[in-house]
Amino acid sequence: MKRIVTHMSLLAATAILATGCVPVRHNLPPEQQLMEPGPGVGGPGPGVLGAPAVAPGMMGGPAMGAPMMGSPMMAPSMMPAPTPAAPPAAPAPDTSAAAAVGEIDLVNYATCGPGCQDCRGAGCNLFGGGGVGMNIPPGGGILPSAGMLPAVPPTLQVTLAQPEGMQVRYDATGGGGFDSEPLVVPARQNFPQGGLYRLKLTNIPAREGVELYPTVELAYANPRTGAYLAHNSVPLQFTEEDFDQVLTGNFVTKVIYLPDPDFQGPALAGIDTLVSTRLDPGIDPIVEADRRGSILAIIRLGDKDIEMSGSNEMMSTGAVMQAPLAGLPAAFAPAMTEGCGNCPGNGAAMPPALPGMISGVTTPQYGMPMSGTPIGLPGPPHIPFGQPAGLKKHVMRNHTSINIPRPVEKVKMNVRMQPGMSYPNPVSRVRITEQNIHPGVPAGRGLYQHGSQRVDPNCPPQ
Amino acid sequence: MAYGNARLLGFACCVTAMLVMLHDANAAEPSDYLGNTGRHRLLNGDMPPGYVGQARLAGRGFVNGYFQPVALSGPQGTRFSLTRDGGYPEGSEVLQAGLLVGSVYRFQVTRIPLMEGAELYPTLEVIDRTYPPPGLATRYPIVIQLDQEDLESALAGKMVTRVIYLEDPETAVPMEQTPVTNRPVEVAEYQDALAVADRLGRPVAIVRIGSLAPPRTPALMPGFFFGFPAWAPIQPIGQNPQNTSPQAAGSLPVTPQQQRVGGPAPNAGPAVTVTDQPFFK
Repeated sequence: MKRIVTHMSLLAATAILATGCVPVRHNLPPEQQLMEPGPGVGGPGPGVLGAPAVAPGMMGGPAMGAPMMGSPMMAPSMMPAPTPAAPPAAPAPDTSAAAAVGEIDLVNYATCGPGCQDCRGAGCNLFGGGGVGMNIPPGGGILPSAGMLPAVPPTLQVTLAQPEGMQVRYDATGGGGFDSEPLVVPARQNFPQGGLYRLKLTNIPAREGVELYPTVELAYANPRTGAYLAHNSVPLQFTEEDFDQVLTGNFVTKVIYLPDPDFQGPALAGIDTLVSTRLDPGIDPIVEADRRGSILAIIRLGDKDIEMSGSNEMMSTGAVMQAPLAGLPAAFAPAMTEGCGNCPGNGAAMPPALPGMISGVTTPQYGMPMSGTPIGLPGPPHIPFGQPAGLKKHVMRNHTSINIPRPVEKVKMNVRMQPGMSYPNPVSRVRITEQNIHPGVPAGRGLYQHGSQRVDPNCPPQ
Repeated sequence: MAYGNARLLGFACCVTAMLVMLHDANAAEPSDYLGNTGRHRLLNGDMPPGYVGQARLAGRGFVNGYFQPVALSGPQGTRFSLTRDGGYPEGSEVLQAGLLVGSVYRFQVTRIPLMEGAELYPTLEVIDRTYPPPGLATRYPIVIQLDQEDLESALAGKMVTRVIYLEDPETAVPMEQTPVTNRPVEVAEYQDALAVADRLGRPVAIVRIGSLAPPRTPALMPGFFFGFPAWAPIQPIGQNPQNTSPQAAGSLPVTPQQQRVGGPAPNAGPAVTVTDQPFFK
């Protein structure tokens, strides 16, 4: 009897496990990780490509102009950035009547002809040359010859809105100082994306003699923020409360982010700002902003005077980055936010036939840790730090339960429409009976067989 | 007894195997991650300018190199102009031009009523073409009507996205759509304007309005103008071809037949718009 109970218990346990009465939940990686290559850890797999590269051009739009009008088989991620070196390679819109696409000649387009001085004989817009026998220029991109201009970094526009009258300086040459022309608030300035910039605030209204040196960390554009950054600027505002906090010794962190739709109410449009001094203690504004949306910029404001003699703060931060272009500010460090400054489509050298993210080519080798050890092998650093190299063996076991199903080899689909289709039976037999209800007039008789009738005198003539 | 245990174990194994075969795994259904629309969408209106258009170029149907006629207008007195030789000429109240499908054009909006001196630089992305009768393409352009509210919202720092779509003929409003009677469908911030437009018809263009100003650095201008894509001006027949500025075309073009009789072209607007202006302001 005891064995029977034991066996029945075993059977019940087996059945429970087999039928899945124990709840089994699949834990998928985050969405951002699903966008990356790599089986399971770095992404869904090498065969799944992520979104096309963002951030070429000025504000994060895709490669436009001549390349995008090339072959339709070209994937968006393969297209180079709209650098000034991009030659116009668009297909020539045929203006002949035999054109299969567009029928330009039938469309009432104004063409000015080769003799048009205004159009330089090449069409009615742009600097690019037109094709043979046409007046509509073939492509966008006009730009001078290749290799003459430096690569254009992706930038975003910053609006310094408050307080009015304040002057803002930045490092314009990469020399470690604040050698730019002062921007008088309100003002706008384009900054390269993905940089950490130090500003100098002077002439603050109602605060004579106060000079502050905040840092502004600008994130790279991503598919979520690309459209916004292509059309709007990022407002940097310093309020009286911020200055009060700083001058009393506090450290202010302001995070400007673009809220996700879930955190964006119907009456709230655009971006939002989190300030560390307004949050509850223990809440990191950067983490909170990252949870709510996509971070655009981080402002860190303190009362440290980095221009004080002997501090040499600007140069002690390490390598000061050069200004990528004349007129653009120079960052003193790269931003720590996620992003891709040298993605394909951003002007970086890239084989033209390769898609976006290739392990070992455009991204780090899959499975290769970033940290090194004193024994020359990848792994965690020595603990405690600073001790001589003594680590001889490092064992790491992965106890993560992994259930990666095999790919489906065959898919069987059964389709059923409700309600189904029911047509009447087609005609298969036709029976025709012809009957003449007015038999013909016998031979020899007239057609009118009735007698004469009396005519009504009041009836009008027909 | 041993034989009985073996039978019992065999029976248990059979039952277990049957249960495993009939087991419907308690896996997360793909629909658990779906949104309100019940399906995943590859494209949405919040994507950077050019993505949707490029996806259309790589899609079905060859639209490469087609200049889609577009008629852009706004509040009375507002001027629109497209870039020309790196600058903006004097605008017109009705901007007409043939724009390449898949390209992004940044045009200038000036003389906004009640906003003296304000300028806006929205973008217009043509993501699909229309199929008018042969020879009548310019008579039936994609009509884009910007509201005063859109421009004011953009100047206030907001971003306005208008998706222009061609109505589904089976669900279209059986009334003539004119710029006066055409009312945009307003969606909330958390809704995707492109998805709503795709449900109501076939999206053909996206207009995004912000308050971005042109950069002062000349090297950034190609990026600001998205590579200066080509566009074809449209002018009424009979106009001096030397003066090919589209801004000179203050009215919609006419067909040759209408030009003979001197009748104006009807302001046919085949497209309606979806804007992401919030419901409550």
